[in-house]
Amino acid sequence: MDDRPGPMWVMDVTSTSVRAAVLASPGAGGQAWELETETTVPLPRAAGPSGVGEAASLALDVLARSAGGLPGQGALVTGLGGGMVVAVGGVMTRISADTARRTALTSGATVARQLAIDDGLAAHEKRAALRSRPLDALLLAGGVGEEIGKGGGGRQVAYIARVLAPALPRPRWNALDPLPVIFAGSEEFRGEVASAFEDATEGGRALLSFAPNVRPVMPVENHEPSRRALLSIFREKVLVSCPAYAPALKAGIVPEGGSPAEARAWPAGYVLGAVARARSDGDNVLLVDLGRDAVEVHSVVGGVANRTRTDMAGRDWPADRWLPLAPGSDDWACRLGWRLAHPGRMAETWEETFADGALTRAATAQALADHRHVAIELYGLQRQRVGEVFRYVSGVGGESLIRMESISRVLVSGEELAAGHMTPLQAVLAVVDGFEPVGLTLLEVDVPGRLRLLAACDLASGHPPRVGFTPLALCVSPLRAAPVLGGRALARVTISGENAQVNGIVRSGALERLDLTPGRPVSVTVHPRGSLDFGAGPGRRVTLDLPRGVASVFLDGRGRPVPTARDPARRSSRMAAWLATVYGNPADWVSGAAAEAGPGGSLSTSKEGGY
Amino acid sequence: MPRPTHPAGHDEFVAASLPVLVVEPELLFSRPLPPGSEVLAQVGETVDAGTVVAFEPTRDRLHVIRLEVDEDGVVGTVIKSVGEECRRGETVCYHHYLFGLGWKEYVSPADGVVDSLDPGGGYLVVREHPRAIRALLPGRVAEVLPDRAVTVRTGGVRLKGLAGSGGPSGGRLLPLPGAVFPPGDVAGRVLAVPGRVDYRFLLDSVLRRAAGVVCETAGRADLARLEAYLSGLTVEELRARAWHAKSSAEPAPALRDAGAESDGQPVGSPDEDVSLPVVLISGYAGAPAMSLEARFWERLRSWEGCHVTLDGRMNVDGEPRQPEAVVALDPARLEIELEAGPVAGAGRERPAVVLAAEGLRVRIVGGPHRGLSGVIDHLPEDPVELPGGRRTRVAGVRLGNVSGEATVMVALANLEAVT
Repeated sequence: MDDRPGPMWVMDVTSTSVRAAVLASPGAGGQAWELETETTVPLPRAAGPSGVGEAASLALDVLARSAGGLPGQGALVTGLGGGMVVAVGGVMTRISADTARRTALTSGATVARQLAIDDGLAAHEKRAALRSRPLDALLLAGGVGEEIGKGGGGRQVAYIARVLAPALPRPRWNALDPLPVIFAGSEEFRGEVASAFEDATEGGRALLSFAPNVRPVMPVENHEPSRRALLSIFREKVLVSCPAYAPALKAGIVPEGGSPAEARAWPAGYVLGAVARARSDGDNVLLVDLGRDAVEVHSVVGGVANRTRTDMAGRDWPADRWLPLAPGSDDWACRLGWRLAHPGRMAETWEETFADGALTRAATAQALADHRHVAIELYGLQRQRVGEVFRYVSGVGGESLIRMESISRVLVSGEELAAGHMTPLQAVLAVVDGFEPVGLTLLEVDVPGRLRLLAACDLASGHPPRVGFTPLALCVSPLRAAPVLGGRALARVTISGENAQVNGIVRSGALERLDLTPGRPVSVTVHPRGSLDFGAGPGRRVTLDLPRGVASVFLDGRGRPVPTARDPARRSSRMAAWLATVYGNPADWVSGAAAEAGPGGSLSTSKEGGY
Repeated sequence: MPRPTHPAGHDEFVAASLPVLVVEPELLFSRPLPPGSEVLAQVGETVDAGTVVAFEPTRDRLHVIRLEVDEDGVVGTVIKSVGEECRRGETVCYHHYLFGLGWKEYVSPADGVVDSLDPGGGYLVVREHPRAIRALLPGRVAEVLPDRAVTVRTGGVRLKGLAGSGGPSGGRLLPLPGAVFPPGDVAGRVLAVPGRVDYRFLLDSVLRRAAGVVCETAGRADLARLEAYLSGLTVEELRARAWHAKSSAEPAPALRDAGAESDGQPVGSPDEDVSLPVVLISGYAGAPAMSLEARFWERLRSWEGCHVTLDGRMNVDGEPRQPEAVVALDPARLEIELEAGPVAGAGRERPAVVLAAEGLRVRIVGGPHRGLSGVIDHLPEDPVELPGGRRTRVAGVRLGNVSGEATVMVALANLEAVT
């Protein structure tokens, strides 16, 4: 029996657009309406809600008229200004502060500052850093291992609280309110932390609350209580104070007389995290959300979920590497600048499409790099004694969990797809270049781009999100293969269907695409050359049954990292060759550039260097 | 689940660009204060653009000079005592050796006072004078938050830019007819330039010590070059470059001209950092050239001599921000301007979306015609296919600012209504 909720209106608010929909209950045959209105905020995304409230109001008005009235139930998912902006503090950067950071990130917040005793900043610099940006909350951790005070330790917990307490900034949306401060550290030091924040609390600048320790013992993190506390702050403080959400509140997002904690509203990061967990099915997966103002990466590796958000605004992206023509010219630079200044605009020409793609690739690569820093094995200190005299302390853990050879699926979603500004193929290619998957990696896409809306609908009914991704492509690339040009065969790929068999070759320095007939079950077998490894071990054959729907197999022999020549002209012609291969020579100028680089996108020379 | 359908009019909304030149009787302008600043301003106080509202903290501005010592203490003669003023480059200690054949001088690295002298260790500490934080705009102090900001209330116009660099700074407005310098001094003036400016113009502005540039557009590479040129540049270094350019056989034209026309040296204190905030109202240059409406610049021209403060930074401590310039108008002019009403033309200051319809004035923000403006001529019902297989609805836009009144097809997502 399907117990999904009945008709529900859902709204997805971002800094650049508002999407609203009335979703009919499955099987009920109801009409579903969907609408997107662009906000009018070019820059800065994080500074204010300008235009979002109006766009939301318009979206709901039009929706109500079109659908014949809004249903009684509603849900809101928002990534506006990062959803919720939080600063985190701890004693050691790589231990308690990192744990607090992961807690905040997985609750859907953006971490504006991370402060710790060993962060290299003097006390006054910590205060200046904390004060420099309005926040929605401060999450403080510290004191790993209860009973730490009995051994005389833990004074640092009170110290970091004393350093930060005088410098609390104003809340982002209501400057008259006290700033919510959650202490999620050792329970032994709650009294000392309370006395450190006493002045701020009495002066109406802080609202101190306590949550169970996020790192009660070194090898264990306990995110959930603090996560709930942050979500509660989001609903009780952020949602009701930020003017952008007023239309949703007016439409009844917070039940009349109901507990704000039950409000059906979530930061987008929380919703996407729930989707990634629900979709992992025991596999190691990455979910990338290609937004217009930020790229979010979620990972579930070994059952451990992590999230990061990389803002695109106000940064100078090294996108030249991915541009297929006229490298380094001011025109390309201006195109990239325009893309950042007008995130909602649509590429109308191939040049603009490739400029957008270059920016997406650069941002995606940076987002994964950021994610690798956050998604790590728990770091801790280990004390060892050698004989009776010598003792030493060493750090253990801290290695990144994100190793592409262990990732079997990458899920792609995002605002760009939802708005139709990027095709699923373009999104997949950008992710292949940005993430550089190795082995056999299945790429699944949220083709209609309604992931957040549907997931919010499911969460509102108390269920894990049951959002379907479409398996779109398979990327085949060798592990630990140095980038070598020359078109040498690295593996033979056999794709066997019901009635036919297709063969392909993974060539060094080349990216090629094999098209499949969607809907037919096929299996892919990779026969490596020599001792090359495609995921099953050196020289071992790999076979994978593809799910229905996979339309393409990318044979990526470019090596890792994807090589870029030092010479800009050669670099751009190489990129043009790869794009021409997968797009099928979209335009004369691209195919012209590809022709210079050699047949089939393979580059025949190997003396230009650059990698 | 049935595939959702769009309600009627789904694609027919376009973002609206409400008037950019909205004269406001009261607008607030904040001067951020570093922690530990000494605040002088008081709420309700009337301030001028040059009024010092606070001093930056001197805590981090100590310069230690290590003097040579032997068992008897400092070798040489210390000619400045504790508490005495010293200027940058001024000798604070000297000694000669090898029967007068060798000579050594110690000079002050900054304008300040001698804070302490340790004769045994040979440490002489100069405390640099605190740097003043000025109001930059005339008005009345509305709020003082120690360690945070001083907020000034004034009447005028806030110009939002879509891109920029450098800042903050302030000066009096000097509208120019184009990217050509007028005869005379432009030091301390904020230049308002219609159209596109290039690197040469920006470099000239630096050498002539202009306070900033508000213009329609500039190349991204030109701004990047300017930022690289200004990185760590002091007035002293700028003077050296200008002098070198004048005396070299093949001087860079901009440097040579600047030296000649400014009749000597770039002005300013030697250790003052050189900056040139630039605010690009229409963002980075595109092809073809951008075109703000003429009324925009006409109005700016009428404000010549008014105080302007501008900040072109797009990112402060990782936080995105929008470049802006604020023009303060005196009460008499303010009254006239308020009666005149707003001027349309650029920017997206106010939030709105409007229904796309024939006859709507629009600005094109994407595609090959970005930067141009015109009027919606017709709205085809059927979507068109874009590169990569995307489909979208388009509008036929009759361009109003190119010869021949051409009509071009533009995706609705790339239009902004100009109301």
